[in-house]
Amino acid sequence: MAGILSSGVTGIQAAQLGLQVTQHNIANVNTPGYNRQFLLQSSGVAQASGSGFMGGGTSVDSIQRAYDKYITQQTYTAKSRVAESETMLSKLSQIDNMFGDASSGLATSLESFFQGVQQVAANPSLVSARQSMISTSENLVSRFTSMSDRLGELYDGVNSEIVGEVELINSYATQLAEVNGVIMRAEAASQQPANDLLDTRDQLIADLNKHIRVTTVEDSTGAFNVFVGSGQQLVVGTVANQMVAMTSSNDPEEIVVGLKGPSGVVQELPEHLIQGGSLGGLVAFRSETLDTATNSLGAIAASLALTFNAQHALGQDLEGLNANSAAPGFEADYFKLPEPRVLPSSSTAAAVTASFLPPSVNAATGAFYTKLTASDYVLRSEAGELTVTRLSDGKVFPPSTQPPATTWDEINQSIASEGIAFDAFLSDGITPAPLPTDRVDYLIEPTRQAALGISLNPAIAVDTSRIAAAAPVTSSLGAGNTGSLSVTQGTVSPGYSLANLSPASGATPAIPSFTYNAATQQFSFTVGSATDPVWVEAKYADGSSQLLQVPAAGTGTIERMNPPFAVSAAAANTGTGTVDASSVVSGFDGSSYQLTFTAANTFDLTTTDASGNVTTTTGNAYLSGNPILLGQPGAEISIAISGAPAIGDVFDVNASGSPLVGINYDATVDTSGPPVVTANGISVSISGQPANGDTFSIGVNANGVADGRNAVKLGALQVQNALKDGKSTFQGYYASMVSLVGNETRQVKVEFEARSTLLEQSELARSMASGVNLDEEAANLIKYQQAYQAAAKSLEIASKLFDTLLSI
Amino acid sequence: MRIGTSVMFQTGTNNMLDLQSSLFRLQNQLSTGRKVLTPADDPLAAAQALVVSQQKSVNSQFIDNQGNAGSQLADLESRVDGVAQLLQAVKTRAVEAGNGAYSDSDRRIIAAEIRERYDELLGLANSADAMGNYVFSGFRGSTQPFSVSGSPGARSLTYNGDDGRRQLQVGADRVMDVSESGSDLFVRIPQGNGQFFVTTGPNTGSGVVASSSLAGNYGGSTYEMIFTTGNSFQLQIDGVLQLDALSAPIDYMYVTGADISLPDPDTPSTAEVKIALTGTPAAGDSFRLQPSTNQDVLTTLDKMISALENPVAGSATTQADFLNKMMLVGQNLDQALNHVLARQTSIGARQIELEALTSVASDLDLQYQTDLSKLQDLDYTEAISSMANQKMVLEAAQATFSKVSQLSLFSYL
Repeated sequence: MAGILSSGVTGIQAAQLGLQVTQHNIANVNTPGYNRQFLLQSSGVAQASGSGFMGGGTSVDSIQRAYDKYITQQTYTAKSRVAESETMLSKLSQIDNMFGDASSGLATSLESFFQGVQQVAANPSLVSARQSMISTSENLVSRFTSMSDRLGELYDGVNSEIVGEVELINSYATQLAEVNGVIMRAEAASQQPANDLLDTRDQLIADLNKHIRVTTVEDSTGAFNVFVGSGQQLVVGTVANQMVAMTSSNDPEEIVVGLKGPSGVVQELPEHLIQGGSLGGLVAFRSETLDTATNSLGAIAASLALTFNAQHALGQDLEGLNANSAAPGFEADYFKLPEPRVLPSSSTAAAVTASFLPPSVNAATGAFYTKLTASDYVLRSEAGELTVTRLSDGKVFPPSTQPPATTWDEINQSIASEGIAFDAFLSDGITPAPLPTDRVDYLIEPTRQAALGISLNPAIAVDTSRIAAAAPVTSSLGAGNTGSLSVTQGTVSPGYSLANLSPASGATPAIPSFTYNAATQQFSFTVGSATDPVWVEAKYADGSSQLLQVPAAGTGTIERMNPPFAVSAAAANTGTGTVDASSVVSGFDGSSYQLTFTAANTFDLTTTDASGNVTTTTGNAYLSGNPILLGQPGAEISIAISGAPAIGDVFDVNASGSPLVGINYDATVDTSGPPVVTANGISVSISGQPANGDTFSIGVNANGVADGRNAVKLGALQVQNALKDGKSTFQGYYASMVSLVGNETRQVKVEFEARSTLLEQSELARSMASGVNLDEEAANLIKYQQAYQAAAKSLEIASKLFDTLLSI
Repeated sequence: MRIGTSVMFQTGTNNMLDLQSSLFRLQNQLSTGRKVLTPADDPLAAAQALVVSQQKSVNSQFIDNQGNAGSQLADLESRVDGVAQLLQAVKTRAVEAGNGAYSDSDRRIIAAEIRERYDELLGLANSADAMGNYVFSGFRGSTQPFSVSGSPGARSLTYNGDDGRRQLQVGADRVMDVSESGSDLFVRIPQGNGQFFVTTGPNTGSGVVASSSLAGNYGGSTYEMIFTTGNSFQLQIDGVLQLDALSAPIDYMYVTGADISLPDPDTPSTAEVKIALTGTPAAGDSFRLQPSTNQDVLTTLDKMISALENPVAGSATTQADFLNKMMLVGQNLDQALNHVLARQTSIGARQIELEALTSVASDLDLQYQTDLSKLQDLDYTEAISSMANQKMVLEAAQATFSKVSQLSLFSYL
């Protein structure tokens, strides 16, 4: 009887607990991170009796939560990744929209800028055309500025968001450490799992993961230790370390993340350790996209300014001023551009400055192009040895196979391929610049500030006549010419000089003047009252060329020798060596060479250059039939000897033909193309059949207000490959940048969608194990209610039995 | 399998949100007509569209430049045509003036007309375009190209321009000259037949140059025939008197109207040029055949005026002098006219080239437009049908969600 009563009571108690747990589940159906709880019930201890073991009712051992450690971990990771992608996507789509949009992108401004240039080319003397070029230039500059302002805002946004994220992470870390302590104490006291506290902790970790990816390890006391990156401790037991948002040691404009250790020392966390969560998304966006986008935009701005300025410097403005004018006022630079930024990692380090190299010139077309990249660089000095590392791919200059660089000149030589150079002298141009401080990193950002800092030269903006639309030279034919001689109008190359050209005025022929002699088929030329020597070069379509320096006031002799040199075996030779083919490799400078064999396979080489200097090298290798290169870079020829020369045999290489006065010109010979005559960097090409005594001359372009030749060349920059080492146009480069950002955005978007799906799936998996289903709980309610009713009934029966006994 | 109730609601909501956002995107595409809303939608197409739109813009700039060049060349052509017509008219007058029946006063009337023509030609040569730039001054657009000094009949002309030819970029690889310099058009015109010309005297006889022509390759020598009697002359080649084997000057026979072959100085047996004279030269009269030099067309006109205004007054000598001068003037006018016509042809050729370039560029423009449309524009049929489809799916999702969410065991408790 007592047994019936007591086991009935255990049943009522268990059913009550079951109803309570079910109600708790129903109440928390929408609580984030809540895990379904359930009773762990077992039958009571049985008592032995003569009739066998008598059951002792039921007992509730524990209230547990339905919890799967691995699935929960999966949702942490998934949440962290989704948050990362989401942050990146929201930032990226801002750039993506800006670049792609016709009204905010660069493309339309670039197009209308070059249209402005073309208008000047069409109407060089028209002030309104010039004004329109200024307006479109200002529009382009302001587009560059507004785009980089927008990117700058994103930088600022990333910086302040990092600060906010770090605060949130710290608050979560502190809460986690506290909850760790509470759980340890609660569980120690009750020896039962503290279900709801455990849920709270799990939810904290889930929330923390939304901001930065963390890993957790449960220690023997049941506390969670939390790590970031590759094992940097954020929470250990009940102690939380603090994250710190701090200014980067390399770039004062960047906020980076540091971790304060237990000793209080703050250590900067490298960016690759900050992964996942919105903080990881911010850092990745900054280093993967924002830097590249800003630098690429800067590379376009810098290349445009450098190439445009280089071409502009070769022009002449409406008032007849050019780079060679004695009178002041000529503005060579159309755009102003800030020089590359150099940031030392230590404020006490020696100051280093850098500059852009002038653009390179395509030898065939004369078009300008830059070699700038969108990368940043790091300069470092180790025990006086300078190295520069390109950050985009880690390439080191000079490579380890080359001798180390110890001076500015040496390091500049090895980074010439990057379009920048360090200043070897201070601004006075005399004092050598100090070398960088040892073991200090200098961050070099060549193009970071270019788009923000590009501006129109104010002197040109206020005075449209300063646009150098004309070319500084003209060619003219003699008034008495009766032949069909035709001469191009003349182009100038960087470094040209007008110093020896007398002003062209009507009848007076300009100097130098070239006169054709029909008998010798040559142009002879005279340099007039020159103060400086004049360089005259004739370059023929077959590749041969001759260069001559004419002293001040004199007559020129250029002899075209085709072939320009001859190889001969000495008459006294006793071996079987014979002369094979010979050719000009890069040019012939008039030197003579003598090869004297000292053994069957070696010879001495004696070089006598055009000025009579003699140099000898010994022990050169000889292999029958192999070409032997002679001369120096730019003036190399190749000869070949075969057979077995005897010791003492001599071969001579001498200029052939005897020099005659003038530049050879024979219209019937030069059919493959007109020869080009260059004097002091001014080039014309000659065609047609001159009559005897016909002349042409090269003169300055006086009063040439209707000349738009330089503007035509400025306009042509639009379609020339002016970027990326002569491989891309401005628009093409911009398009590839838009495509890069677009691809990145698309990729992150796809990633975001995939990660969201993954998150949904792991949430679903978690809900299968731990989620509250109301129908299930309703069933449970009924289940426990009925159990309660049944247990109560058994008590009633026990009581009735007792009454029966008493009534006996 | 257990599904958490909150997850069930969440998933249902998420699905509907996804459907809504893709509907929103479709609606956005439909209302803008663009397939690519941001570069991320199709990075490759976005980049290509930028490149194509630059090509299109450059191409339309070339079309603009071609139009510009076309109007400048048309302007130039009409001016050069004016010069050609003027020279044609002057040439007709020059032929008329050679009419033996004309009196001195007749010729003076012609001279008066040529004076007008001179001013007209000078005006044409000094004309300015709509922008106020002188047309024929080369690059010196603000400098008047020609200035004249001296009085009519003895005027000299100075060219103040340069040899510059203004240029425009009318194609990716084509920079076209859109002007002609005055020196080229008016100044550098060879005299005579382009290789040599004949001058006389001063003579006292009535010898007149009837014709002169090439007989072989003219090497540029100067021949001077000096008459010793009315029917014989001696010959100087480049100033050297021709001698026979005995070192005596050779006497050449002169027959009126007959061709006189002048020998090649290097191979005396072959003739270089032929000349025929008529009339009776007096002893001491000379006829010089020399390599052409240049004479500007205005000076030619001025010399014509001077010849016409000089009275002939029935004298055989002045008549011969007049005819000889007019012979040269006629030749020089021919040269000038041919020169101008050659420039006119060259301008015409450039105009034809421009037309071809413009036609190609217009085709290209259309092509670029088509390319751009392919890259950017929306396929409406596809978009609208996909819109209907998405709408249906969303409606189904909403209907089923409301049904499923109403199912609960608690409704039965």
